[in-house]
Amino acid sequence: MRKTLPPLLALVIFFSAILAFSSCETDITVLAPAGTTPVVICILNQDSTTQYVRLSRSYAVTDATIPPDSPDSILFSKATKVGVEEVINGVVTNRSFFTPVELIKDSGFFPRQEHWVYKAEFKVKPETDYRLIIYPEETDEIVYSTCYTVGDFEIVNPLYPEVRYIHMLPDHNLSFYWTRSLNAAIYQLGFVMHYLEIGPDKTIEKEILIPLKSIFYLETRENLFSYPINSANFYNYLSEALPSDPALLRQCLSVDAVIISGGEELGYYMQLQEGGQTFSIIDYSNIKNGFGIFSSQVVRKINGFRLTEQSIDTLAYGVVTKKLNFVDRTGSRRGVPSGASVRQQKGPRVNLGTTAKRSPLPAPPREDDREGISTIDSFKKK
Amino acid sequence: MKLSYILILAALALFACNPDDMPDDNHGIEAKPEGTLRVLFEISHPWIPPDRIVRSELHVAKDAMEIYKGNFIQSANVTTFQEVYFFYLEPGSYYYEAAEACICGGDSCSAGGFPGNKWGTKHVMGKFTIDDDKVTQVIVLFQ
Repeated sequence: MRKTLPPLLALVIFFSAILAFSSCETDITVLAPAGTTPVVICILNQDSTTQYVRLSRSYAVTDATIPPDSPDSILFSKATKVGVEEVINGVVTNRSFFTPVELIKDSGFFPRQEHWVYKAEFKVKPETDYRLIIYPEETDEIVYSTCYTVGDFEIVNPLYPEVRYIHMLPDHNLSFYWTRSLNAAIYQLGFVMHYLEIGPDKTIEKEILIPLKSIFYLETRENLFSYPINSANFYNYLSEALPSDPALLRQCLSVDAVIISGGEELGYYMQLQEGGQTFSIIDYSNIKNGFGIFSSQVVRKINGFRLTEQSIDTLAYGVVTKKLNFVDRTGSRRGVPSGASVRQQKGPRVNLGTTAKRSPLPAPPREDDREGISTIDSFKKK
Repeated sequence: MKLSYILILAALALFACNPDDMPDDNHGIEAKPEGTLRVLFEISHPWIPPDRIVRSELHVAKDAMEIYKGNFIQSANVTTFQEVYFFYLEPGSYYYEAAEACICGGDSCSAGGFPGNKWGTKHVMGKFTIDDDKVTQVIVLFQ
């Protein structure tokens, strides 16, 4: 006698089979629908009357090495309305509209060469509410954000560049001191170094920003901050940022001490970056209906410090920066190759005044050093 | 049995003598003996307010000629906020140089004994000795 399955069991097996087959789908969609998300960066600069907004848009690709056909894929149209309102006691007291300006890009890989940012002329007040409003017609959705600008502050050390020199060596690291900037959450310490680049044909005065340390102070109520900097980082940064070129001599002229205070939003953004949480950067945004940052900054500088003679010599012959060909305290440099490629100097004459703090009587070079000595003048004459 | 022990010990001794296996750290390297110089650098003047005079330089050199040449062993980044400075040096005799500058307006600086007017600077120099594990104190006094 042939056995048959009970009807209920057959039904269970039938539906289980259907479920099993339908759950075997292995194709998953890794791309989100290709919608447009505005990406906005606006850091109000309280030391300038020119303000900028960078506005771009997300776009979906399957191969990031293939550039989009049109700049419309990454940029909103130039007709996009961008404005910033100053709000005091809930009342709009000033309204500024931005206009697009073409931007010349640095070298590197970019999806498109065309790029524009939005520019406006207005002065930003400290400790004031500002509202950013963007209306891209393509999305028909208002993108907006608010921020409370940071307060004024002062650098109180290093000070008096007329009589003080900066000793950039680890035996006595320099400490920055500054007063509190209200509502600021982050302070960036650093230097701007002014230097001459003396080539075979011309001499150019240049400057380089050397950012050294970001300090995140959000909860503190102190009114005076201090932080020691690590002198080694000064030389390490220069070593990485300046190209090594045997055909160039360099001469350090002066350094400016710089502190930048940034608002709370900028503080969170930078803290996530510096914490190594690369994929968390996009997690912080204070832009509604978009991604990005709307914040403010104040820059304070004490200009014109000279480095001590030991620091100048470390820059010239230190292990980290000797490849950069900086001249030493006497305005000369040992070991500069007398390469035939260095032609007669045609540019303006460089003042041979030493970078040193005083005019010492330099010790005569040892016999074995004499051959390699090259002053700026002799370098130019080669 | 004894022979195998000897072979094992010899092998261990050979490995231990390989200079390439030296660890890349500071173990086994003795630190140089150092003494401490404590510099008390106060600002005082009979009648110029202390906040109108600023510390401007503080250096240590091996001898007076090196001070003159500017060949300092160490220099401090002097500030308005710090009166005491420390230098860690090997035993021996040294010279220090300190300077202060007047930042008053008008002719107050020259009247107060500073050369010139604003930014006029006074220098002072002196000798001191550093001993092992001892603190030598120098008090900076300007004429």
